[in-house]
Amino acid sequence: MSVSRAGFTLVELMVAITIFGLVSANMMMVSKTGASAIKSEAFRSTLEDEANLTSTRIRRALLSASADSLDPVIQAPLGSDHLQYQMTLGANEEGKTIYGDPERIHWAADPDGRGRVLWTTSPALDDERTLVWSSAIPNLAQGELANGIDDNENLLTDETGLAFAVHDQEGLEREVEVYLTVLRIDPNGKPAPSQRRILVTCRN
Amino acid sequence: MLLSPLQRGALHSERSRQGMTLIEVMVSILILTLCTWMLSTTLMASAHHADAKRERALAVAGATNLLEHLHALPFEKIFALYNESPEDDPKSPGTAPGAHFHIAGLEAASADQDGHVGRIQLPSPGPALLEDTEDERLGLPRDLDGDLFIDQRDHAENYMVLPLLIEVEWQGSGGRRVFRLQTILSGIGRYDQ
Repeated sequence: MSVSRAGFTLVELMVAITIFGLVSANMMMVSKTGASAIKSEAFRSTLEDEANLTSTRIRRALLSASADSLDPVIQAPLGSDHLQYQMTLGANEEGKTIYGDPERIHWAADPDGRGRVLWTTSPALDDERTLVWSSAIPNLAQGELANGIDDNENLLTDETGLAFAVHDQEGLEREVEVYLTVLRIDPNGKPAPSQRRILVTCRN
Repeated sequence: MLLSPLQRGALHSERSRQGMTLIEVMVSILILTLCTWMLSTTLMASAHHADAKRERALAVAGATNLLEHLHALPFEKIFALYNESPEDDPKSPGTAPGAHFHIAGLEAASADQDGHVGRIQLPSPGPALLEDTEDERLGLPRDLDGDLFIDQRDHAENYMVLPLLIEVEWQGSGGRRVFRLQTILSGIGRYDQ
């Protein structure tokens, strides 16, 4: 008498193992791609945050600056990697304008070839104080080469990752145009830049 | 009907060898497909987030930069320079920037007729500046010349406040996106007044 035996045949088992292997490989590939995308996404998000935060700080600082106190007043195609200014605090009894302590936003080179955006209050004075606003600013702006030509077509030539140009035209208030490039190396080892153009009309 | 233990074993073995029904297979595939779709949607949304953030930052910066430039201009010329009509441009017809502007790094939406991502909306398209037009977004009708009345006259030459809306519309990585900045400019207290 034959007895029925439950179980899989060798072919069923092999087919099942093959399908399981294929599905597992696909799932691993999807999860690996996903992890890589999330890592890359987190990096780019941080980069954009840094560019936004730095540009917002620069904009806010220059908004309350006195237009007459800007130094240097350099117009395109030349640019400057620093700008000094003073805020207008009010007027004294004789009607003369009272200015705050001088402040300076500038680019400074690091030993590793990159640079930083620094904000210094009372520069060259006893109570000088400096804060780092960003630590990933290249020595040349995005798309710019050190060749005496305006490669990135922003009207400035060979500008640094932080560049100021002051528009001083007759009949218009003084405007400061700022170009900011934040550059970091992404998880794949490639340079990833983020650029901002900031235009500010000094209110005082 | 009573079955012997041997018969019961044979019946159980027969059932276990039947495999899954078509409905079971279809439900399994459906669940698997749903899971895969949810996972891929999450990954895609995650991948677009940084792009969307960068695009929005460009749009905000573009609109803010334009607003800053308006602050640098003589207040009484802003309407003539930035309305839709080229007839009243201060230097000669067609020389003013007009109501549309470009922002580097942003692509105009496919349905956009003028091909520019940015647009300034003023109380009226020009050359006349009217304060009795109906526009809820700009807070119109409104007294623009400070005489405490809303009338039907042209105030292009004597406005004291100018409501405006800067609208940036672009084709983003995740579809059509819009950023709006609404404000009221005033000539009171300006250097040029």
